[in-house]
Amino acid sequence: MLHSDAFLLKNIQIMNVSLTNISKTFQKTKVLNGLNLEIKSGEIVAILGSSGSGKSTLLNIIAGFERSNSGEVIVNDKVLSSKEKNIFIPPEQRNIGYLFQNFALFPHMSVHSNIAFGIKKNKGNKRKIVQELLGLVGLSGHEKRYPHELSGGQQQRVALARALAPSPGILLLDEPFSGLDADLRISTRDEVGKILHKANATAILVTHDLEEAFAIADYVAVMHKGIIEQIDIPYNIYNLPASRFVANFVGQADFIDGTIVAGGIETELGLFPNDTSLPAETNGQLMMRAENLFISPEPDGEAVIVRRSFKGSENLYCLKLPSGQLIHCVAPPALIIEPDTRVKVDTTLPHIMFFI
Amino acid sequence: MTNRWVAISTVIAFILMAPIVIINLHAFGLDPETIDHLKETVLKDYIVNTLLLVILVCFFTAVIGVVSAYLVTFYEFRFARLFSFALVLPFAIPSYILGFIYFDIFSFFSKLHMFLMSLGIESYFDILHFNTVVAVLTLAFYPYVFLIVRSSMMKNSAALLNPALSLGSSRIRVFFRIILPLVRPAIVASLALVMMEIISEFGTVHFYGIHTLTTAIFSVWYELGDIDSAAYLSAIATGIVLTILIVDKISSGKAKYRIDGTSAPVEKIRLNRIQSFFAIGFLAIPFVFGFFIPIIWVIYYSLTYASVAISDEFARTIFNSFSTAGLSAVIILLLATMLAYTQRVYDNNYMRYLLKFSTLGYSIAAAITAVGIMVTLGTIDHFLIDHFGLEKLLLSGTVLALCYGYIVRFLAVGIGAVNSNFEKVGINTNRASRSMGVGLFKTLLKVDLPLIRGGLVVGFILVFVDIVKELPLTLILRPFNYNTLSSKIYELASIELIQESSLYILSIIVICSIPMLFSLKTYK
Repeated sequence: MLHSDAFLLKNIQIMNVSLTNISKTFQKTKVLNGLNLEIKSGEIVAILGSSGSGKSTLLNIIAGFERSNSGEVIVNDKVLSSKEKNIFIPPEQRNIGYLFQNFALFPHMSVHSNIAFGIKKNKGNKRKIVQELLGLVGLSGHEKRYPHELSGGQQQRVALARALAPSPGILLLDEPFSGLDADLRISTRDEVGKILHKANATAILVTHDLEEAFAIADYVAVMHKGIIEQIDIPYNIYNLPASRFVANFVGQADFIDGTIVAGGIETELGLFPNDTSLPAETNGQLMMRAENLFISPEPDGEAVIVRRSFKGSENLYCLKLPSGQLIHCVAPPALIIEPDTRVKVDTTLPHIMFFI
Repeated sequence: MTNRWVAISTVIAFILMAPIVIINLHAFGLDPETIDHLKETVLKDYIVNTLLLVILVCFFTAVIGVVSAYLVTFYEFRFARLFSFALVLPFAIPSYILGFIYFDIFSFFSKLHMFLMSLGIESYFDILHFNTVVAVLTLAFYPYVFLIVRSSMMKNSAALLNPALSLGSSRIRVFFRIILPLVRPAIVASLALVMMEIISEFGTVHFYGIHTLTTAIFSVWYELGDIDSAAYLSAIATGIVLTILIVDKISSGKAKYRIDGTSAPVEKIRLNRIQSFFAIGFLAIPFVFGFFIPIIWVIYYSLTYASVAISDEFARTIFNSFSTAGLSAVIILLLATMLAYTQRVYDNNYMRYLLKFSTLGYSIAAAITAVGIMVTLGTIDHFLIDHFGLEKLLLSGTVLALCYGYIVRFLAVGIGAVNSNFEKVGINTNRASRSMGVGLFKTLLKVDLPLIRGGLVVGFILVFVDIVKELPLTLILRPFNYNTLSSKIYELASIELIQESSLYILSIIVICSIPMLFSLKTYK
């Protein structure tokens, strides 16, 4: 569906984004709490957080729609806003594109007028650019339509073309796919991801959807309590979480008690290799992902099945370990074990994550 | 540079507020003797009359408004749908016109009464009575309560009613335990509006010879030219209104229940024949007395006097009303758009308070605004005469002064219309435009204004209608020998030519009916 990306590739700008010590308080609620974030040119960063974690507020501060109570927004060494230096560049002078959750297309303008709205060129050039962008998002021939005549997915792509039209240095995307139906969401997400990567755009995407973040982003930043708790590539976010919060937020995680001993980390599921530099006899907890545990019925197995939840492509089992600790494990859909059955637990942990 | 918008808004707000601030500040520099004189003589009566009127009319409007809203929202009976529209109709008749019409109708009975008296039979028809005023104002103002409470009932209580009934509560219990507490903020808000209307009310009260703060402000200024006393009375009336506003604010702030999500429509209960009879009987009273009888009177006398009433003067009066109301409404919408847009974009506390501040003219009695404008413009005029050798008054007693008054008084209506439409549109289209590098002014012209165009037309009509029916401010600020529909009706009524004014009355009622057409449209 990518007919032409000449326009975008021509217009790549080097954009480094740097946020320092951003704080924002609404009434008495602290939404952002001294947040720091660095993004390099051409990177797509997904900011992942639960609803109400301040993700959208952060985007609004970068775009200039809201003012932070403290901190600086710097793009390419240019200070866009700084509470301390009393600098505030209004949104219309920032050259930052924004893709809204509800698309926010101008309902009284045609597709062409919507996309051409932000292009500061003469008429002939405008038309050419609009054509290129429509080609890029796979909607050539739709320029005379009005937003209400388009499907949700088409509106989304017009909104993307419109946001890219003024060739913004950075593109901000606020939950861009949550307004779409489930089946459309995945295909649109993949297409938008392709377009952004092709265009080598610097983009910040805000989402509460883990899959979306992992699918599109080069880096995922997990937001919690008004700060970025961890920023890393998706693999590391999932497998090497920096905190228990991140571990739980990006997937099913259980933590079992463990103690550092001479040969490794001792737990009730056996001895695990120790790659930490912690001294012996340190107590902590070892992260277990459900997909890294394997169970098989065995009369003298160490665990007991508590309950089984059928998920379609898999069975999610809840097990009880001798200590009483509950732990989760996925098994193929055909492997059905009744509750109260004793099972043996095997583990293959790709990474040892020991939290103290 | 970004603060240009805020700066212009601030200037607008101060120009609009100047008359009200000046008249109230004037009260503080008063000679104590004036105050003592007022206190010793009539002040107590004015305050007692005002408060008594407020209490009684509020009580009756609340009963009629809440019960009728409850009946048409939750029950099904013959004419129920008709009533839910018909009960709004009295809004088309300004309170003072209702007062004049009933004066005329009762004076027919009073001739009967004189005759009976001459036969030695006791009095039943003492028309110039406090109770008549209470009844007239109740009929004129209950639609506020009815409309606001009905919409709150439809929005809020429907969602909770079905669960409550399914839990086995009786209808009576549901009304008192669930519906009434839920719509309480709506009742308080609508009564606050009613109170402000009563305090601002001039035509009926003055005509029936009741002395309230507003009529007193009018009298001391208009008849005695006594600025000091007018300022003092204004300060008291302003104080009462501000108290009401604050109480309303606190009360609605504490009880902000709102049910989220779209609520299922209420399963209406069918009334049996006897119940229906009582329901219809109850709803018919405000409709018949508040609209039906007056409208028959107006049509009858309009036809009777049509040939004499249609004259050059009639045409001139209509033209005056349309030109002043049209000009003022256009300016109001321009200013309202400017203020509401600045608030929308710079959404901060300063702008929020500035907007509240600049719309105070709507809450405070019109007579106060009018006297404030007279004092302000008079001061400017005398300054110009003293320092620039002007020969005559430049501003006082001109059509511009009248328009200034209308703008101060009705800006709030314009801002309400613009704001509610901005809210409907949402902020994201505005932000999308600006993130594409388009500035604030161009965004306003190309994105925001086209999207609220329909709302601006409705806003214009609402403001226009409010201005056409405005009375006390018009009486005080109009140029000499200059009449609008409302002042002409008042002049004719005060020389007891009420029937002869019926064509003027009909014109006002027709104009006031225009907004009803919208509600009829949404109702369908």
